[in-house]
Amino acid sequence: MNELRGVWFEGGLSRGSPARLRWSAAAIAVITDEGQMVRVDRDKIQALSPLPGTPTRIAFGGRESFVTDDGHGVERLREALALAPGLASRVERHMPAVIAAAALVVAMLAAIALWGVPTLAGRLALTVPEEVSAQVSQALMSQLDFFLEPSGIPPPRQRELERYFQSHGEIETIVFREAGRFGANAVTLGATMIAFSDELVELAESDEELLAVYFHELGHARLRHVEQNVFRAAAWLVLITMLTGDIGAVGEMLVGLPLSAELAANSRAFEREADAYAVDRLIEAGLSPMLLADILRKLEAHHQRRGSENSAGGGDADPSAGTDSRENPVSPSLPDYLATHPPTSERIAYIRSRMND
Amino acid sequence: MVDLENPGGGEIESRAFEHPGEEQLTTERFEFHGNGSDYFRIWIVNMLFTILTLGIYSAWAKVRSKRYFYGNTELAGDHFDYLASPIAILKGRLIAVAALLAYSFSGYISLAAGWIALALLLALIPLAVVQSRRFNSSNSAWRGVRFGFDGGHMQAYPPHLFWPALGVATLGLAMPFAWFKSNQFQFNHYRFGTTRSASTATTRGFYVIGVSLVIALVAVIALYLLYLFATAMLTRMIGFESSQAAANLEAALVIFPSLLFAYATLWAFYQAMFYKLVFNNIEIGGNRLRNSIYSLNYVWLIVSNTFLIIVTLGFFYPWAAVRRARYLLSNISLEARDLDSFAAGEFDHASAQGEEFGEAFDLGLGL
Repeated sequence: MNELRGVWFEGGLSRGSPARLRWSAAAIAVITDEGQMVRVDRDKIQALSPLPGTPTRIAFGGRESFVTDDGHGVERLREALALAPGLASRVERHMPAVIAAAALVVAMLAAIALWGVPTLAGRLALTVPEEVSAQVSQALMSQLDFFLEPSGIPPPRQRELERYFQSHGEIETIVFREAGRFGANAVTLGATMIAFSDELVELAESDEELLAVYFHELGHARLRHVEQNVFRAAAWLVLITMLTGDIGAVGEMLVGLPLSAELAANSRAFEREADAYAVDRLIEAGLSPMLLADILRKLEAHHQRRGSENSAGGGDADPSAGTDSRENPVSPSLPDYLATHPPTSERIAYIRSRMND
Repeated sequence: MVDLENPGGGEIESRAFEHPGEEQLTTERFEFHGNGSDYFRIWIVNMLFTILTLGIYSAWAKVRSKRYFYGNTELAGDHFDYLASPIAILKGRLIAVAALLAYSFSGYISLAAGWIALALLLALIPLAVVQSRRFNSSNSAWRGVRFGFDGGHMQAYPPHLFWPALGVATLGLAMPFAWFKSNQFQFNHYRFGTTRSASTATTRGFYVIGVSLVIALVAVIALYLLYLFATAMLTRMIGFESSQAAANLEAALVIFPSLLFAYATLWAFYQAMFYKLVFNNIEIGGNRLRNSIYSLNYVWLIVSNTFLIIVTLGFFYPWAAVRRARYLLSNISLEARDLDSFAAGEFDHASAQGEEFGEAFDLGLGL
């Protein structure tokens, strides 16, 4: 029977009347139970593909509409109107197809997270021109400068270190800053800029140790790690916006936690790459890779000292403060899976393993 | 030329429904008929097609989701309709993603560019709020009559920029007043057909929410301090050596779950208080919204939903969304005087751009 039962709304007032929608090859009409008949224009019918368990609204180009619970009937009407069958509603209706869809979604999300985003970011990072990288470095440095002081290292000594570093691998800009509460550190700000803190220069017992750090940072710069991170963050932003448009604030926090773990894992992978690069360059320069291990150990001790000094006020309740074996020099209170750097012991073990090559 | 401040073109009659002498109130309950397994089918197919089309399908996905929720919401025997065109949403979504990317890259260009982008964003928010409401409401209908929103773009600046800024400047003291202003702006400008809605919520109601939130926050902080104290005592008593492994375990088993729990609880509590106040104070054509939302029930609902979403790695989401809709709608009713005489206005056409701006920046606007 080419008929749908439903409710007819004229659209002028908020009241409807029970009606039937009938169609044949020749004509389509809505007939209300009170006997009123409205012919409708075949070309103007809009019958969206039905949703499971949901009434379907059929529109006729104006403000009139006809609402029906009969999903199968709507599909028959769509066939009669030669509308393409709704692909979504066909998948939705078949349980095996739904299960296959779920499996595909999981597989594709895993592929995107593990392979798609890193590969895309890696490719895009290589296309960034040096001038753009330099601009990014400047912007990042000016943000950092809010927290840093001008370097106290005498300019001749700065130039001496710079010349020494540059002679082993060139980079556009090397800067020095007093880092205050951030302590000894070095940071890469893009393909063209590396910054050293005064505290790091003071901590190192030889210029060779500083060179080891320089090589590590140069690894970040040459491998375009900063640029890759920018693209990764952007890719995740778009992906999450597209997939979870309306999940609300708690939902966003749920997505945020695994995402920060992912970004941290990625950051640790970058550190390992930069360590490998530094070891290669140290060997190339005829120096011992253990120089990197030495300075890493000093950095760890340095940050542990500072950590226990900083928490001296509340340190009373923590009997292990002095002998804390937490290993991460950058952020000692973070758990492993959120740490931006691998544990120092792991990094030193890697350097040792390269010694035996 | 369409008058932007009065898209309906006609007079807005908020008194058309006064029938003095013949008051007959009936209680009409909202009902939600959706179920998790039906919505799961829609949701998973939406995800699949969105990924396969590199995001393009997300606009169609959104329409299907909304059609499901609207179509399963019943009032006085009839269902709601969501009428938006996916193409309009797609356009808005592309613009919003472009704006979002531009905003997130701006900080890398220079410090000034970052600040300018932030200022632009703040200046655009009120416009986005208005566009979003116009788009959403004019694409929502019941019994063949569309809703609408008549708030003007310029009128949106005080409630969505000035008052919240003052709220921040006064360290939150003026924030409930900003909520009040925003509520006034929102619910005094919705329309169903040609009939304007009105809100009777008062400043006092919003201050009650503010004070309750502060008390809840203080309680959470007190619990946290208690935990710190207890663990410190315990480590001292048993001479426990803290290690990285212990820190990992503590973070995974205690810190993150309790942070999330506290966040979800506070958020749900805030939302429940808000809904309770707002949906008890809306009047349209002599009909009044009433609700029996109970904060603790709602908090339990959100917390348990969150837990189940985590343990199912997200797959519980469709059931969670349906549960929430069912709870809220089954606790909202209409003290109805006359639901048959709302007259439709002209068709409203608002672009989808504002809406997607709003969504992309997570303004979390309700219906």
